[in-house]
Amino acid sequence: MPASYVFKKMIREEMKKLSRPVKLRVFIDKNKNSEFQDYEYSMSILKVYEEASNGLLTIEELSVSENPDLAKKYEVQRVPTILFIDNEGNELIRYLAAPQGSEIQPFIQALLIFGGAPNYYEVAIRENLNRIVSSTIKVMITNSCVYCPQVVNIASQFALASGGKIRTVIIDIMENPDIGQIYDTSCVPYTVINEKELLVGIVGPKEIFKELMGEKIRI
Amino acid sequence: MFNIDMEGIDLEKTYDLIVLGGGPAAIGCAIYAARFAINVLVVGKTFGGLIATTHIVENYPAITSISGQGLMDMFKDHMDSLSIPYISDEIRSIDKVDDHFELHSFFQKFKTYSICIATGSEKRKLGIPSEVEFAGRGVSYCATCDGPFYKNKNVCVIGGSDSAAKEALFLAQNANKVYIIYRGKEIRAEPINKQRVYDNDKIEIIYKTNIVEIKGDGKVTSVIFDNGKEFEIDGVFIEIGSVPNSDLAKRIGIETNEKGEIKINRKSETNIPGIFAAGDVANAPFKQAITGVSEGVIAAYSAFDYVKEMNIEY
Repeated sequence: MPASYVFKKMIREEMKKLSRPVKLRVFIDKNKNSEFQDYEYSMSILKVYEEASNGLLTIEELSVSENPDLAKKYEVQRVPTILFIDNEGNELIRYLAAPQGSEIQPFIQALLIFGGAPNYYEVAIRENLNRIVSSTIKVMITNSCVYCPQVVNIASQFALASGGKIRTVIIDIMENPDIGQIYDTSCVPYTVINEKELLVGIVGPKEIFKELMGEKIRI
Repeated sequence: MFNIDMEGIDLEKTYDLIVLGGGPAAIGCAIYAARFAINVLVVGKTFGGLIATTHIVENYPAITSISGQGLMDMFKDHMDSLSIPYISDEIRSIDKVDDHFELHSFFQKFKTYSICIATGSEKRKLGIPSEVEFAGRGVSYCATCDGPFYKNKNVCVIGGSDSAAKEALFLAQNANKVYIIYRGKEIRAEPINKQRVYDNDKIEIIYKTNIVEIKGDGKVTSVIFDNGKEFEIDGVFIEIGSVPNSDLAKRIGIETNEKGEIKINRKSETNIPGIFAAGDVANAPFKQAITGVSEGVIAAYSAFDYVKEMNIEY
């Protein structure tokens, strides 16, 4: 059975759990002479999610060449860039990765919570929000990494609970090798918090939370 | 897939059984507990355990050959079919309060009448300072995660176990050359995997050798052997066994052996009534996914008996 069939079946099954409307913004580039990478494959995957959502997921395609101001506002430097943006305009999650294979589960979980489903970490994040500086969690992954989806899941849920104070960026470093080179990593998952705290390998919610909080935890 | 919308998770109620862990032992326990119709919740730091990083599993009955990740996906599907909730969290303390236990994590408090500790084990470290310095920059503990970074490069696997042999075989699919560096005289892999290693032209075994230092310039470039020789290498995969994740158990007074493994009897009982243990964290002499599942199943049955004896009124 082709893998793509299995993944599509999985997406269709899990997207049934989406009960509220959500919208994602996806920056692409329709300019044929663009320096940006091919985005059509990622878009075809996102269409599977959209089609399986019973009309609840809207994918808003935005060409960077046609929307330069918006692309500038969100600092879009490559396509496709998938953005979870809340009603106040805060960017919560950025995907520089195609949500396929084992990354389907954390992506759908993020969609559900983005749509209002309960978030296990919300109470702890909310209670400590005034102790967290505005943070960016970058999670570097590959398609074959078995532990990456778990870190992506946690980091995404933290961002979704934070009201815009935490931003999570998911980066496939096989698709974006230049970013992997910047961080000089040959290991995934590789988590960078605020460009200084490095978490190598599998980490749980406690480790990420502690790095965000320093010693200021109150639970 | 998980119950990814937290469906079925009730943080107010007292569960019959909370299973700590996310590997085969924990899942085997949870599946049987659900089928015994007792309320069960699984709380694990990582789903899948060490087996998830195994590139190929060929000794799980009824499944001829599957990746570790594939096997865990099947476990997940089985859990989901029984609506068993799973939470990614780590318990830091357990208190006995009246007839039940209270479990505290960084994020929540849980209540349960019984517990199965199936927190597994984690990869043993070499314990040399440069290992920490180059973690993520050439030092790795997961070939399936990081192997693709070493396409056409030279890597080494430290260790002589069956796991080390399988890591080497997986890495050889992409790497230019794989060296198994082992302190002993003959690797201890299962005969079938040992033969595969011998038959693989890309794999070479260096016997009676330890690594005393890892060197590099930002990234790993070489290792130093205990005979003083410097050996150029791009990646170092460490596979020298594992240590049980039993710190929590020790803190609450559960008896462990000299290896730190939780002592259990044939009913998977620990020395504390109502607390059971299973899998790599327990003191079974032979640690495999299938034996972990077996101990987990026994723990589920014992927990079922324990809870039944309590005559709880819901």
